Order: sequence, then C-alpha cells, then structure tokens
Amino acid sequence: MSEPANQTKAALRQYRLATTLNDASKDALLARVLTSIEDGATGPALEQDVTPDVAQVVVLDRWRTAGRIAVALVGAAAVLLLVRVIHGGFVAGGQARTGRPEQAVYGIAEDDSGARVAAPREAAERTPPKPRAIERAPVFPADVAVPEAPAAPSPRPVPRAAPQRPQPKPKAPRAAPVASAADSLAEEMRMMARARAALAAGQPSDALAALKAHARRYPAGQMAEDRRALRARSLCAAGRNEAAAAAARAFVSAHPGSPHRGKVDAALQRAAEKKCGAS
Amino acid sequence: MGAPEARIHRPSESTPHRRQIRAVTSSAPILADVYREHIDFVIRTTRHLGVPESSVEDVVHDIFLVVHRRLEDYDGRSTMRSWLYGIARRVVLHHKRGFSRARAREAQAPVPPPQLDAEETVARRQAAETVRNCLGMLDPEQRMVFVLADIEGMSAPEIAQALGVKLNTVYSRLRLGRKKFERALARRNQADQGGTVR
Repeated sequence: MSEPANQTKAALRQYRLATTLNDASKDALLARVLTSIEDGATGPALEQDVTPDVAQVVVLDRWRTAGRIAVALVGAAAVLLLVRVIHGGFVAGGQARTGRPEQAVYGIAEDDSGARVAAPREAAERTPPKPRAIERAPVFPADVAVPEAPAAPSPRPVPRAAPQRPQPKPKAPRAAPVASAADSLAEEMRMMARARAALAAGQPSDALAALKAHARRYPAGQMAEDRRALRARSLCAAGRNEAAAAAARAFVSAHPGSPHRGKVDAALQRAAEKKCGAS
Repeated sequence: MGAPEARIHRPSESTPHRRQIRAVTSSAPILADVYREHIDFVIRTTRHLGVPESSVEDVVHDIFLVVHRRLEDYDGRSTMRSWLYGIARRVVLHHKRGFSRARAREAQAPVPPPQLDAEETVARRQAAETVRNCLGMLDPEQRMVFVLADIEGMSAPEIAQALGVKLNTVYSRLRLGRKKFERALARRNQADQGGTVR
C-alpha cells in the first residue's frame, strides 16, 4: 500500500526537478524580464474582470445550459406538437365537420409558442445543480475557452447574451462552499503574504512575528507547511543559523517531500556561506 | 560586493551573473522576489498548460511582465500561487490565440515536452519521462488538480481558488487522479521490471 505511494513520491520528485530550467537559464530569463521592464514593456493585454478558470467553467456551463435548453425546447415542442396533431386531428376532424378547419391550424401555432414559454422552465429544472458536465470537458477544452477570451479591446458579449437567463442557477451552489473555505484561507494567506513581504523586504524579525501570529491562530492551518518553510528561511535571514537548522529539521520531519524543501535547503546553505564569508 | 555595472546584458549575448541581477533588482525587489520564489512553479505550470517547449521561456517572460504590472493589485486574498496561476492561464490563452489551431491542439496534448538539464542523470530523465506518460493517462481536469496538489504542493483550498471550482470538486478530482496515476505508474514499473503481467 505504502510502496506505490513512495514510488509515486519519488517519481514526482524527479519529475519536479526535470521540468524546470537550470539556474543559469532562470537568471537569464529574469534578466530578460527586467530588461523588458526597463524598456517599458508591460506584457500582453489580458481580460481584467473574470478569472479565466472561472470563465472557462462558466463558458462550459453556458454551452451546456444552452444545449440543454435547445434540446428541451425541441423536445417539448415536438411532444406538444405531436399531442396537438393527434388532438388537432380529432379537433380538425370535428371542426371540418363544423366547417371551421382554420381553427385547428391556429391551435397548433398557439401551442408552439406555448411550448416556447414552457421550455426554459423545464430546462432549468433539468439543469443539474452540480455541473458535472465539466468532467467531459475534453470534448471542447481550449476551443471553447479561446473564443470566449477575446481580450479587452473588443467587448463582444454576443455568445454571453444567449444562455444568460439560467446562468445564476448553477452558479450559486458553486460559490458558497468555496467562499466558506476561502474565508479562513484568505486570512491565512494574508498572514503569509505579510510574512513573505517582510522577508522579501529584509525584515526577517517582522516575518517571524507574522509567522508566530499565524501559528497561534491556525496551528494546523492550510498554510502550516508554508509557515514552517518560511520560518526556517526567515531565521536564516535573521542570521539565527542554529534556530534555523532546528526549524528546518522540524519542517522536513513534518512535511517530508515538500516542494518547499529546496528553498529551505538553499536558504540554509546561503546562511552558512554568509557566516563563513563574514568570519 | 560592489557590482561592477548596474546594466544587464541581453541574455542572448551572455549569461548574466547573479551579482549583476542583484544590483538591478534592487530597483524592483518585489518582482525579483516573486520570481525567485515562484519561478519553478510558473515554468512548470506553463508547461502543464500545454505551451510547446519552444515557447515556454517567451510565455514565462510575458507572465512576469504582467506580474510586474499587476503586482500592486495583488491583495493577498488568494495565495501568490493561485494568483500567479490565474495570470499564467490568461497569458497562455493569449499566446495560444497566436498559435495555429493545429499547433494549439497539439499543445493541448498532455505531455509537456522534455527540457532537460545537461547534468541530469539518465535515471532522472527516465523517471520524469515515466511521470509524463502517466500524466497523459489522466483527464485534463484531474491532471491539473493532481499536478497542482502533488507536484506543486498546493493545498486543496488553494487549488479551488486557482481553478475557480468547488473544494469538493478538487478533492474528488484529486482522488481519481491519484488513483489513475498510481495505477499507471505501477503498470509501467511492472513492465520495466520485465514482468510478464501485461
């Protein structure tokens, strides 16, 4: 049971290392980015409003919903039409006898429009609350996302307009659970961001204070792994090498195989080198 | 310590030294910090989003230009990685519009093409290749969740935020993805060991 898990872990670690660039290339790329910034480059213009992932999901949803409505519409119309034709046949027959055949034709037309009114409601009922549809997304993955994406300059809400009515329905149940989990996560992330920013700004003691606050409030929080890694790195930055080494050990034993490990090790090494260099 | 020159060379002309970068980045410390902290994640994510090998560096370059432009808008409501994922996704989308249809579809193929360090061992290369193939067995949604969770080490709520899906969806995709991945890996390992099991 645990052997395949270990195999997986080992394979993923190799993969992680193999799928990035080497340090020289990374440095070169950063230099290129900074040069571009100095040259005034601002990067490609992107859509501002929606996160694209949500957008993609929504697009899929919309297409799904649109498809459902279409099917429901056609289905409902066909059924009603059939019923009416059968009925109408009788009625028409009856009316033919009474000499008013046009009534039957009119009846069909009326029911046709009646079906149209009824159909969206039915479609909405048939729309499952969970858009499991996405599971089958490979049918049109990028192809759907790309047309929706046309960037800021040309705001064409054309594909958006059609299936908009049933939109709120599938959206509401999705938003709620994410939001509730996201609330505490957002707070945790704010605290982490503070710590990270302090570390980046060369204020490791502020970073450590922020991390301590996080540890007190969310001892086993979602970001505990990040916290331990950051703590070790902040201690390194503060020059408290022994405490840093202890924190790093705690981090590794709590999160073996963590992707943050490389950064922690690098920080320890840098700290050690600095000490050698200084003395 | 004194950096000889604050100007940086074009990377195509020479490989810049770390010290030079440090000198320059003092004017943009935050971007450089984000870069150092997350460059691996961004590179891999770019690959996982299906960018062909030849374009990876260009796309990453553009991603960080956008990061620089938007950095002050980052409000900490999502993790940096979720935020970066959103930017990466959009930049990739932007680039894909530039690719031809066929190439874009090719790029959608699950396998990020190999990009290997010179000093890389054969073993690592093989292991990475195996993982690539196994990742190819997963559905795209499962794959992205699996990759973000088990390769990038993101937490489930973080992934939910990055992808804009429900937490439960993340968990179920992850469960399925892991199962499929482990099965695929076990099958390959058996085959590699010359087992007769097919």
